[in-house]
Amino acid sequence: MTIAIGTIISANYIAFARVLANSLREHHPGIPFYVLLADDPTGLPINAEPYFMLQLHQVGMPNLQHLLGRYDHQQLAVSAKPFLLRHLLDQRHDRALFIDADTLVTGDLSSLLGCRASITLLPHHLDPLEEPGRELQVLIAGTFNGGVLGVNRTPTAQSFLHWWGERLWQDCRHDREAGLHYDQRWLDLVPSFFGDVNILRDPRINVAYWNLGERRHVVPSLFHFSGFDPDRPNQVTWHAPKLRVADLGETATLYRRYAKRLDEAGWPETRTWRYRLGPE
Amino acid sequence: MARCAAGTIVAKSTLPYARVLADSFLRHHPDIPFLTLLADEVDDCFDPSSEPFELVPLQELPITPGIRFRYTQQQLTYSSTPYFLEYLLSRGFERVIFFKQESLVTGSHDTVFTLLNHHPVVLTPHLLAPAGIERELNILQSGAYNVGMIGVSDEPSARRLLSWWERRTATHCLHRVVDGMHYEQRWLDLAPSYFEGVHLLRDTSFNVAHWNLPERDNAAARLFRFSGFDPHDKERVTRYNDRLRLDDLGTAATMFKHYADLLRAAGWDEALEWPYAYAKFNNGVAIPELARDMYDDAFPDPFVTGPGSFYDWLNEPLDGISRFWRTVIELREDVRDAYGNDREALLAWIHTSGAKEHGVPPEMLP
Repeated sequence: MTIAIGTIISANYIAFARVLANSLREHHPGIPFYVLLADDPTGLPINAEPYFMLQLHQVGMPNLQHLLGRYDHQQLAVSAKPFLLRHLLDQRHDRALFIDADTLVTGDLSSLLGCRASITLLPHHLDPLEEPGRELQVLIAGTFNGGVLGVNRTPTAQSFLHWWGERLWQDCRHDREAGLHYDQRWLDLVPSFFGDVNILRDPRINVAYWNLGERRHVVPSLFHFSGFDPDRPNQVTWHAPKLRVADLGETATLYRRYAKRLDEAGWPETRTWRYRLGPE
Repeated sequence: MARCAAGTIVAKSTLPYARVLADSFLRHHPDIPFLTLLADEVDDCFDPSSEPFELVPLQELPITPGIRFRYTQQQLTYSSTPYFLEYLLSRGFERVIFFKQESLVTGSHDTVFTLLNHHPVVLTPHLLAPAGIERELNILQSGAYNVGMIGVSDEPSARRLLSWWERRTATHCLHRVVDGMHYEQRWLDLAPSYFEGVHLLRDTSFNVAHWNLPERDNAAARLFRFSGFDPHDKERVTRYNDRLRLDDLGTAATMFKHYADLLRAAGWDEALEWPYAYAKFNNGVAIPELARDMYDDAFPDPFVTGPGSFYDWLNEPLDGISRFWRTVIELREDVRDAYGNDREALLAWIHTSGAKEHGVPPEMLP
């Protein structure tokens, strides 16, 4: 039973990948961690990294050249997810997890690692919210978070990855009226289409700014610093610019530690590495 | 043996749906009570005691005058769904199936009642497999799970779902896809995240309808749905898709024609004439749809008229033009572009196109 974990970055996010890799090793040292670089590494001082690096041509994305002309770096990175997962399964791992690069492993991930279903999804919220307005925003963005998901090596999971990869190739953008939000909104259809889905309801996994309110008393195992910009250390997320780290109580310490780790992992230098595979 | 029940919701003018549905359900489950919520008033139009179902009056539910006013007839039947299900559970029923009104039971639903022994909630996905990007986007816009058939048991998880769902449908049961709303249905996308034990019924014999006809075997269907079907429309399968024609349906067309016959035999044409009880203010003035949108819950009973009423508030003149019409004009960029602040021209527009386009009765014209 082998598990592999992977993430996807553009070159300028390499500090995030390093921090994540190290944090994973602290809590789950035996698990191989892969970083798919959705970018051009030529000339960049990337070596002796604390993870296995993959490049796009290794994960078999069809018609890559055509995609590079259509998509910006964000769309490209997101469209590569199903292919990364399929690649990890093809490497004879029994289970593969995708985790967004802007996350930190802070505790035991057994509930996530041990999922036996073909597909594991993480809901954004585990309980109803007070305000319908916020729930509508979740409905628009997708009820499951695209930043953490898992697949096992089964025909069902392969069908899912094939379908998801196809949809992301056809369209990968935000368009509320059409029902689109990048890769994430498609996940709403997964329980209907593929059965054998585990909706993981562990509040320690994927704690983030959007659910911090209801998980205040939870000691997180996986914290998701979605939208965090180390150059704006007092802003929680660019998705909600008015939220300040200083207002987060105890969680502020976690943000500050994270910013420090990113700094030590080379952020000041690597943040300047511009995306070079296509339109910005 | 758990106590089972089934039910649906109609307004008076759509009562024949309930008659046909109840008859079809009882043919397969003669010992299970079928109840129909009337999101309307009887008003002597028919005799509830001679119907094939138990009629539940709207007064049995905590549906406020505000909710009745805020919503159109169709929206009210949709928004009442969680309230009705909660009512059935508090009546002591332990396993309940809700069917949306335009449905025909064509096979046993024992599967669903049995599932409810182990799962507090049963939902039916619109699609059970990939169906091409266009159809899938359509489903993403309207909600992954179809409200045409829902099962609930008397377990706490189901009750929590209904309680939350009621809070949402009381105020947010509208068709605004861009805002994440598709009446009561889209909210259910959140159900598997929030509540334990939500079971997705991945059985192709249930909830066969226009959105999944190509991949379903109508001969094996246990529940057929006729969303948006008009028995007098000889061509279209559903008003939700202009391009889908009955002639293109092959063998399924027989089912639609049969259903049309059943509806007509159940009094379709007569019922269409029965007036909706919540269509007018207490003074007999018809409620324009925009007045419903403008409803402010500072007024507990917006149907009431007279001094201090919502009706008076709507008709209060603001510089010669009522608050109601001022709000309409604010929504109509084209009218503002055409007439600006020219009061004469605006009044003329109100009396001609405005009244017609927005269904405003003469009493509410300046």
